[in-house]
Amino acid sequence: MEILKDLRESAKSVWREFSDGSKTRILVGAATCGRAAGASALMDEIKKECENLGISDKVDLHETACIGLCYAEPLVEIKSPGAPSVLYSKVSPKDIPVLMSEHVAGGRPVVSKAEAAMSDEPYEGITPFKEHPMIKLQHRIVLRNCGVIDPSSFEHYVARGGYEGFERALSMKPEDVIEEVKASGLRGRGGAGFSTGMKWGFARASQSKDKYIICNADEGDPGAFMDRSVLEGDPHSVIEGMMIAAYAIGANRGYIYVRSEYPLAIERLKLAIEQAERAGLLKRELPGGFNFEIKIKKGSGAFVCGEETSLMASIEGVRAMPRPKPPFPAVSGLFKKPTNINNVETLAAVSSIMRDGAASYAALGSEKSKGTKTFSLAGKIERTGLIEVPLGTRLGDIIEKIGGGCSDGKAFKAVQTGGPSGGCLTKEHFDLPVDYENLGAAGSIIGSGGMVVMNEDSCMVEVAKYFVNFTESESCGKCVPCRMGTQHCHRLLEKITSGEGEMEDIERLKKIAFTMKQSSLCGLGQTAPNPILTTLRYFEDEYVAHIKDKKCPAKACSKMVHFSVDAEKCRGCTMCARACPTGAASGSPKKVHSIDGEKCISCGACYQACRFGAIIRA
Amino acid sequence: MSAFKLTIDGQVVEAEPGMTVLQAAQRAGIFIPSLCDHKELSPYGACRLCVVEIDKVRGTPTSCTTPAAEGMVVRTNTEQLQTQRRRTLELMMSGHPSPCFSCDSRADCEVERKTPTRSGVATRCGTCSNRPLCGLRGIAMGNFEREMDLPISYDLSKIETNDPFIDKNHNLCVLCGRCFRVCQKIHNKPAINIVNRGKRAKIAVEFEKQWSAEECKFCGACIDECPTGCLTDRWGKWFGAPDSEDKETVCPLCKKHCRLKLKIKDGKVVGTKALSLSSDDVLCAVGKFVFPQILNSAGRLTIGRIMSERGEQIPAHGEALADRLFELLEENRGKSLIVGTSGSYYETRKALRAMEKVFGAKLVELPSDAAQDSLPSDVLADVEAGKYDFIFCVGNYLSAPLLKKAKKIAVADFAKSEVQELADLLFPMAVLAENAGTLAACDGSKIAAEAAVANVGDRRPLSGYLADVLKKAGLNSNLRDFDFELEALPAGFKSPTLDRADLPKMYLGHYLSDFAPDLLLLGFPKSPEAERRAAAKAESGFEILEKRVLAPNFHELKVAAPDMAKHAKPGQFAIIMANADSERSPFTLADWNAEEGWVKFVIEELGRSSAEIGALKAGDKLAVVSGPLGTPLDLNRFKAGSSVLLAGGCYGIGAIYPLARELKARGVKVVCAIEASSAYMLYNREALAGVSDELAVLTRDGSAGKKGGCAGFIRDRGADFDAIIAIGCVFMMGQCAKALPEREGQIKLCALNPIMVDGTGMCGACRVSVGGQTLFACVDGPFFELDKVDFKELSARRNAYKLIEIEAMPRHIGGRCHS
Repeated sequence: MEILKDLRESAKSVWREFSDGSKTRILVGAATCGRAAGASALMDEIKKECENLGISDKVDLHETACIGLCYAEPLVEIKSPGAPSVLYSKVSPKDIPVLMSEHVAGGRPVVSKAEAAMSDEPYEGITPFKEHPMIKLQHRIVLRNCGVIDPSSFEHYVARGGYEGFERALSMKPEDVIEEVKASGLRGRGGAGFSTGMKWGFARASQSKDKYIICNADEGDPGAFMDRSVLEGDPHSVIEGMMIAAYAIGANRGYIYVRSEYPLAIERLKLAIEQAERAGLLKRELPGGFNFEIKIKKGSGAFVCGEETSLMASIEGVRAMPRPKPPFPAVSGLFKKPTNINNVETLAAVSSIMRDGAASYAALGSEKSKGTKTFSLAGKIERTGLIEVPLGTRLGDIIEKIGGGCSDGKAFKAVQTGGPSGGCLTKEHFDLPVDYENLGAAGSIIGSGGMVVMNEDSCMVEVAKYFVNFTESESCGKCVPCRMGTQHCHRLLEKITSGEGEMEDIERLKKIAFTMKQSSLCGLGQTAPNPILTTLRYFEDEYVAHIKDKKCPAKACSKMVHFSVDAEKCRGCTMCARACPTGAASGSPKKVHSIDGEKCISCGACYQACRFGAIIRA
Repeated sequence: MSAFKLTIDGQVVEAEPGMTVLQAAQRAGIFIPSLCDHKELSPYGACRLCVVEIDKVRGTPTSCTTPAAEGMVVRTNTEQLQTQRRRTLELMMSGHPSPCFSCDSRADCEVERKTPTRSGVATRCGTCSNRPLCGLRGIAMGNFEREMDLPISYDLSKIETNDPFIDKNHNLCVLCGRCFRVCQKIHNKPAINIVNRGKRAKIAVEFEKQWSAEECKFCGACIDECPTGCLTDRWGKWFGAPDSEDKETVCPLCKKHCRLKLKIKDGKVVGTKALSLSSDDVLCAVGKFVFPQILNSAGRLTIGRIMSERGEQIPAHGEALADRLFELLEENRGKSLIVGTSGSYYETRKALRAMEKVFGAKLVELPSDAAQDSLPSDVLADVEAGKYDFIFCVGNYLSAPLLKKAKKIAVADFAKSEVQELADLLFPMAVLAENAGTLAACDGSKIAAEAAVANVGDRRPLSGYLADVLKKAGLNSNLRDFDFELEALPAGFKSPTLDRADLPKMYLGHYLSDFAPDLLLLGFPKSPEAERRAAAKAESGFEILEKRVLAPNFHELKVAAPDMAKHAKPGQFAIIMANADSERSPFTLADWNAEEGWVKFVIEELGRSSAEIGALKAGDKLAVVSGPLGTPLDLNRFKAGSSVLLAGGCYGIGAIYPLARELKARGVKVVCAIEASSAYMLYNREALAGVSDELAVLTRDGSAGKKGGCAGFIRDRGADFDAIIAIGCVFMMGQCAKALPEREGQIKLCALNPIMVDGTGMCGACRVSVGGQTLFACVDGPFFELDKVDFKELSARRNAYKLIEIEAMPRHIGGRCHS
């Protein structure tokens, strides 16, 4: 069934002009992350320089979204007609004149600023993109279009096979679509990892005139930005996924629940929905009677809204608090109608699965965890960014090969996977194939895909405290174990990091954590103790050092470290005195400085500021 | 679908479709602890106490949210479940002021103090008005131990008293959600909900505005369903659990005539309740809160009066009152005006109609919420022209100038008013639930309202008095000839809603805000009398220089009193009155400075008078501070080098300070032991540490210092001291007395605080028994020999006015000051 038949041809010509046209094409990575790194200023600078050089009519300037190399932002891609495109990294406005005159006007790539070339072979000595260390092990299905197309262009999406999956679905029986998704082995990418096809089957089985599909785009884990990147970079892939899901379960209405902290994603989604409506895909009866509409609901930043019953309550306009299941949303969900909720990534994967068939997706991944998963690499890692790898990829490969290991040459200590609900894994887990089963067995979870890397300077008690502080303030307050448990855990961790801990506190933490896991109402409370339990499991010695020796082995807990000046190394540069917020560090220029212990609040600003290693941290 | 079977704890039980596992268990008599579950509200699943194990179900689901199903195998009480519940309960109790559950003296304390202490704010079970009704306590009794030793949090900023009728102490809240769920059920759009997240989560209206500023109708259902004492009825909470079955009656305060249930305790109506949690039965703020306050108002009339020849109102009773009315009507035949109201019971109205006929009087019936002097214009003109020689007014509908136009006046009323001093005859009327009678329904049919409580004094239903009068005129009691059709309400009459604008503001000529001043916060009109009283409030007095809250219920006041400061000696006290009409209450001088001319008090909020003082701020004035009173402690009894133990509890922590300071200055070795229920109730630690050689901190729950109380300290170390002085509540001093060591020549003292009136030895209210002798605490004390005081008697005397004190508990006092 080819609804977009006519459109597809014109889309292809738009794409051809974009990808291999007669003009020099410049792409600026201008997702939220790129903009934060200065992409907007670059756009202005490029326009200005085009005018200066009088080449504006020969240049085709576009915004694209995030290609995933966050550490290298801002990124600019330049493609001269007939030549491969070159990706430039860490571009600053002062680099623009050179890039413009050399590459754009002169057709000569600036090799020194180049990160990769979009070619199969090295181009002018520039590494091909697919050979780039961060890209090499990746397999991009969900991220297939991110950073490649102009996300505001409907034609780009369509030309690259967009809505073919939906068209294929529409030519099948809904039950067969569900079977196809089951066969792909796709599991919910929001964190729980439940079989998407089975979930759809439940919603399909519920009888109702009205049914809902909800896209959960309330990405709330600290350090996670997979969903944002997909929504900003390829909004139609999510909309197509929703349409397929709607067709499969028989839904007529859809909501995208997206955080209001993602204004660009909302803007792109709005545009994409309008485009889909104009193209006759939405809000119109299609052959076979399928008629679907999508609305956007902005969330207001409550972490608990990631939990599906809370999310539905929020859409209904009441306070977002989880409610007990049963009834499950598939039976009685939004406005008491059968409802299916899928995460952004799941839906983006669905559109690809339906286009390419279940088999190619199921061929990837491990035995029970099929396909690919996106991860956001953050923290003390060399190459931060967004990646997509087949499930079952070695943890060590992700951290070391893709991420390039720890930044600043520090030693790796742990990686927190799965956000505040997840846990810490250590170097011992580097051989672990990353999939749902293995991470679960190690006490952590894949969750939505956050990976925060910690190095030797990270105190694991402090890390646990950070995450518990987060869940403490995000607990909705409804059920006792979560509300009170997070408070007490946070207090106990604060006590330990302040040097006032007792050995009994470890037992207390374990008891509280156990009670929370057993008795909490929703996933938030059940998983909130994970950071504590895994740090206790793998780093109990750090807890003990805090309690027994009153020492923070990582020297990160401000109440346990003391700063002094190494007279031998101090050059009297005054940097420490200038950085000190309390006036504890002082001294005359070119004389050895000192730190007044009375005034010092152990913030570590002097330690960071000193360029001679003259501040002793003990 | 039909009934099916499942197995719970090995027992095969039957359940109906739609039942939860909890309901199925309850029906079979199997107990599963639960707190947030409520039979009329949908499952919520927040308290997590009702967890069970079910075969083939993962984890431990809550039985209140799990539908029972055919063939289910459920276990409710395995060892693992018990541990799980105990720990959940411990987490819950750590967010609720529960130190009483860790106190070793709890059993003794609750035997001796059968009812909770009436304090300003609840800080533990022992000072919580909800103790007799508490759902959490019910579960914790015999089921609770602190295994993880989690500290209890308590935050003064979580106490809110700025709304009418409802005291909110969020420290007690366990977020069971019953309140807002019942609000949702009744009002559809709930006024309250949980706001904020995590530890800041609490029950509130949107954006934490005042409840009175929002949708809240003050139907009070949330209070009735609150299991913990977080939400309480400010006026009625201290009466405790009703002692007889709820009685049903009809509220006559507006035309809607709602049926309601009355909570009865000691023969008093101590509260009202809706018949059910349905929106059809919901009460308005007046029915819920004002109805019982009218009945128990201090302004009620109890004694009938007849004006004597000499112009004095002499108390008179029953028949004499009826006789006099008969005489007046007889004497003024054809020249009498009777002012009644259509809000009266049918029986009264019928009797007044009969009187109109029999005595040739003019009867005017005003609407029950009519304002004063709102007579029909022709009648008003006649009254002003002096056409009526006798006016009989039911209620407070006529003002003094108007009444004075008549030669003789009779008034029947339920509450005092200014015009009553003019009356030649005054009937004290029964009102509301004291009175059975018939009222009109909206369609004109009759509704019977039952009497629920007995009358006090000469109070009688007016219809009874009137029947006696008519009997004298030869009419029999059924008055059948005077039956009349009750008027149906006019077409288009809209039944009053719960909106403030629709609620009655007056009843029988009285402003409802006179009985329930909290109504003023809802914008109800203030009576002219109340306006005058407020304007007359004295501005002179003793200025409060500084004021701070030391701990919940404990206020420290620094008051300008130069003369007193000059003469004050350790151990003395002063009598304080917040306002000119306040009770006189004695408070120990906690510190003073003659040069700067101030004295300090530690005031513990224990009732209306201390609450009034506690509500004052720096810059406000106390009407009376008289002292120093009492015999100071004879410091010469304590030799330099000797050792003294000063044991302080509650306000005593403040009261021992000057003793410690003076004794230390004399070279005495001073050890202070202070006790509090929990860490959050301790105060004055630094000050005491500065004037003592050793400070021992004791808490009943072990949250600070050593676990225990002063009595235990005395038992352990009392023999080491040459003298022991204990100051605190009666229970604490009594315990200390029992713990005293056998030591020859040891000085053992306590400072007593009985009810006191004048404080100078005249009234005798403060008598105490010490070693078989009757002494006056005000002049012979406050120090007495600790081992000889009859604490049982002291305790009984202090409780002598319990009911009156409860009735006088503060209503709205302008927003209590907590910080």
